[in-house]
Amino acid sequence: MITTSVDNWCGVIEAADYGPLSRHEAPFARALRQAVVDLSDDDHVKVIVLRTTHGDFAGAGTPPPVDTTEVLTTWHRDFAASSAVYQAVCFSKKVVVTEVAGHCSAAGSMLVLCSDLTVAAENATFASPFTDLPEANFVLAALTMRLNRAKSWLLRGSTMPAAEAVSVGLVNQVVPADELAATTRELARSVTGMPLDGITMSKMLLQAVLDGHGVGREFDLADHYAIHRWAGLNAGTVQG
Amino acid sequence: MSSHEHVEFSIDRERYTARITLRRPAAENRVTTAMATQICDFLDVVEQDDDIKVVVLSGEGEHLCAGWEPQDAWRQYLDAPGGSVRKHPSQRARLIAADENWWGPRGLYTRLLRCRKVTVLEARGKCFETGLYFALCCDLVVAGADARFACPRWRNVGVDGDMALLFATVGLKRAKELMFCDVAWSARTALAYGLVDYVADDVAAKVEELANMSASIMRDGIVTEKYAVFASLDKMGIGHSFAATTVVGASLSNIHFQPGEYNFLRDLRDNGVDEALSTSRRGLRDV
Repeated sequence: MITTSVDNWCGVIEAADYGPLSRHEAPFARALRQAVVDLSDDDHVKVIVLRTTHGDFAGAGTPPPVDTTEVLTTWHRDFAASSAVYQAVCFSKKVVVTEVAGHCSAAGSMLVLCSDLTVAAENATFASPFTDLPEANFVLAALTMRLNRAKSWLLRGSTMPAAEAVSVGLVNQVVPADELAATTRELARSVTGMPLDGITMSKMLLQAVLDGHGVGREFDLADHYAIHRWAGLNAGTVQG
Repeated sequence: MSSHEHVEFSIDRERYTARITLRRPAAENRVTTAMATQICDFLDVVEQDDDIKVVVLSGEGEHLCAGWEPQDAWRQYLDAPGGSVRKHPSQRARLIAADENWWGPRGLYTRLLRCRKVTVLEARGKCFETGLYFALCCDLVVAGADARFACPRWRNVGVDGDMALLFATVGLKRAKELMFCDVAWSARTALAYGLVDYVADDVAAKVEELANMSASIMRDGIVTEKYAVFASLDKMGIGHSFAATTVVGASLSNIHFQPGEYNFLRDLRDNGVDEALSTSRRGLRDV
């Protein structure tokens, strides 16, 4: 399902695609979370790259409704908690790079928001994570893209092409698809020139600032968003 | 006109404008702790003079400021209380130096960021480290086409700058590019990212135009708007971030290097300032 490798200070996590997160497949979320935590704790790793082996970074998918009692227990543990997959990426002690080709559905866009740096192929597209995912973090989006653009993404539920994503600051570089892996390698190489202690302490400083901005509190609100969203669906009262 | 060793200060009362000019062109205007103190002293004068509405900050020569003076950066720890008690300065000395000279309420960056007058920056050539923070802390920034913005010191020890201010200005991912990827932003990139307001062929003329425009605003209007900005800075967590920066920045002066990692301080000690700076900035990539 997920494989990891380490070479020359760079840890690589590979999956066929990260679409299972969009469908809230818990075993996948746990496996990805564990891979990120393991590489974050590895003293031979400075950079973690999230890569896919097939066409799309995260294929389309919609999560099924979750019962309220499960939201507060198992769902919270796997998708919203401080120990869950997204916060493991967002608050990793190492620099996390997402390498995006093809479509990036809701969960893929959340991984992009949680990662430090993103390289995208020209064919990449980025779906709004706010339409389907209660755990989507608006504070991260506002910090990344600026408030007005994040609001537009949220309200319109739009999908951005790569060229727009780079212009609004959601991704760092857009390159032809056949140059994607090489560009990511070069980006990772530029990061690994920093001392390991420097990277770790820089990420700690980053965590303090993100916390100050309310990124963690926004993750805490995911349970409430989920209950509101799925309470209606469970009762069959939501329209449109 | 008042001139300290490497910082010049003048007031043009007809134009309601003060000028602070870094004058250390032979060292690409690298800033020492003494220069930072001098700038703060001049800001004291500006703050107390009701006739001054605008402060223009610039550097003599090709570059605004190529960063900290490396040897002075270490000396500031030795000069702080508790700094010379043992072979290496104490942790409290590092914290006090970072707070007093740079990030704390009386430090250069806070003083500039919270100046009650309109601050206009003339950015040319290298705008590194302190030069980058001048751009972040000033109200209006005019860059020459040759201006480059970066913080190469982060490459050596990790990020010791203020993150909240950088995030608020350019966005999270672009800030991280500057933090981790050994890049320098060109004037055009800095304009696209929102770090500078104008790129001009005649930088001095554009700065003068902005200074005159700002000086045409009534005093109460300027100060009222500046206090509205200060309130927003607090809400955006800038003060919290400055405090975190002080702590982490002081801690980064204690880092241990893994085998094969570049040790700037060792290079500085063995080969001198010019060679160490050249080596440490060799990989800096313009984007």
